[in-house]
Amino acid sequence: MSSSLQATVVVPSHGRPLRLLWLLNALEEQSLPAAAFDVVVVHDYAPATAARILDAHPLAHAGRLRHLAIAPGSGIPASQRNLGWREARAPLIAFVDDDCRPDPTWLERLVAAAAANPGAFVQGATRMDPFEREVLYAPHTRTLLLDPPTLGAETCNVLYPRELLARLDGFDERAVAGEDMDLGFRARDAGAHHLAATDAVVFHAVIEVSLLGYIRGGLKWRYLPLQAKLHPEVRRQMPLRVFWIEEHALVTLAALAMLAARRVPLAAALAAPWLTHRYRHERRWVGPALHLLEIPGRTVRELAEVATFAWGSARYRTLVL
Amino acid sequence: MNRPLRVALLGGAAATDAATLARGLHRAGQLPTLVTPDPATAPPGTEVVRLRSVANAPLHVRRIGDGLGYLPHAWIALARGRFDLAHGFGPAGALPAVAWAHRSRRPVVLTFAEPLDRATIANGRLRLATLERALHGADAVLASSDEVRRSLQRLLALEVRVVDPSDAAAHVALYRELSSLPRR
Repeated sequence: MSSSLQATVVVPSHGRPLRLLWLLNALEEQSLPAAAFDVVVVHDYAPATAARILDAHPLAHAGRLRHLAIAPGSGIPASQRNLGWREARAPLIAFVDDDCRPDPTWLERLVAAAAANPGAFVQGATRMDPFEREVLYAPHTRTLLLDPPTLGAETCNVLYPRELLARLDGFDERAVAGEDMDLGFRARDAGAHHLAATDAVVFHAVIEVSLLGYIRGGLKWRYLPLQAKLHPEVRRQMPLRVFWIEEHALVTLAALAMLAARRVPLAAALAAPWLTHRYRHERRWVGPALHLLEIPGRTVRELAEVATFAWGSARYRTLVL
Repeated sequence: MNRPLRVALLGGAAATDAATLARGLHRAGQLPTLVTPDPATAPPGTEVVRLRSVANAPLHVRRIGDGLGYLPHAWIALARGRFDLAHGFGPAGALPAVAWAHRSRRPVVLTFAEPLDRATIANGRLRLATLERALHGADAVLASSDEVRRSLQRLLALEVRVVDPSDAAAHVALYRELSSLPRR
């Protein structure tokens, strides 16, 4: 590989070959000169799928895409990313997820920001994919909106100097979630500047899921209380220093209010903040009437998240709901 | 001599292509049935099943489009029809055929009549799920033009044959080949 190689894009992938293909297409269309970056994918796909999606891709034909296969079901994002950046040859490592679509100027802007601030790690912005906006009309969806810099330093859009990753020994592989947040903290503690590049944008997929699928997918959040325990700054930013997000506080209050209302009916009024919060935030999508019908489902999924955090709290012996 | 094939053609969003193929199959001595919400597109002499949609209002509110409202009736039409094979145009056209094939163990052909586009391929409720289900269940996938073939290669990593809907002979050959394979 030539010495003009500036960045390696590392992608962990599991269970989303089609979206991985679309990500590779978007990487092929980057404005950064082709010689300036390559791509490493760490995945657990069957050989036939890997051949069809990865080996046959124009990036692979151009010698700019390598992939590492791990045993099916054996990967967690942290270990896959560690494998990926250790395989990388460039001095800068850009992380992106397989359910994201980078804007054509994404990598050029990340690399420019890193070049102007040697030693810093650079976080770009994450937006909901406008190509999938209609999916938001589903009752339950997963997507991501992030305005950098965030405490999470989320790996769907972040670039680290390889030297910094090596010094920090990469991601902590004990956690299935929150490993990116942990790395961000350790990088800052090591003196690295956390830089925001708001113009380096990736678009996150909008994925429709069932209520059960939403709850099941959220079980990984049980690893997040560990981050609150390891990094006090996380707890300082939490509502009331106990709740992970505002919604968890409001839905917990609403649940307690409904329990108390059996004895004191007026207590039910304490559920109002939760109901108004939900109504205000999402009525624009499906209209007021339908939205009201959805509130029970939203309540169930938020309560499930609170229970998941309680599970993690017990595991890591620290209270985060 | 081979007996004529009873082929259900589900037009989906490509009613004109389905009608073109129906005309060609009819001329070639086959027995096509056009399963469509718009019987006006059917060529003379072709059997037609007119599809009716389930109530549209709730689907519209939920932004469930792509002709999925016709799916239950299309499945019923296929189940009643004693077809040898079903041929859907577009994922929504093929979806009822895939469900029918699962039960009847008959072949399904899926033709993409329009190029796929990243801006729209997943921009709709159940659109991506419909596409993946149709691809998974189809025994053969065709493109109606080279432009469509390139888009399938780019967005689905699929290498498919280009067969024009007006080429009835090529379709009949494919149908015969699929029908002769062991049932799934």
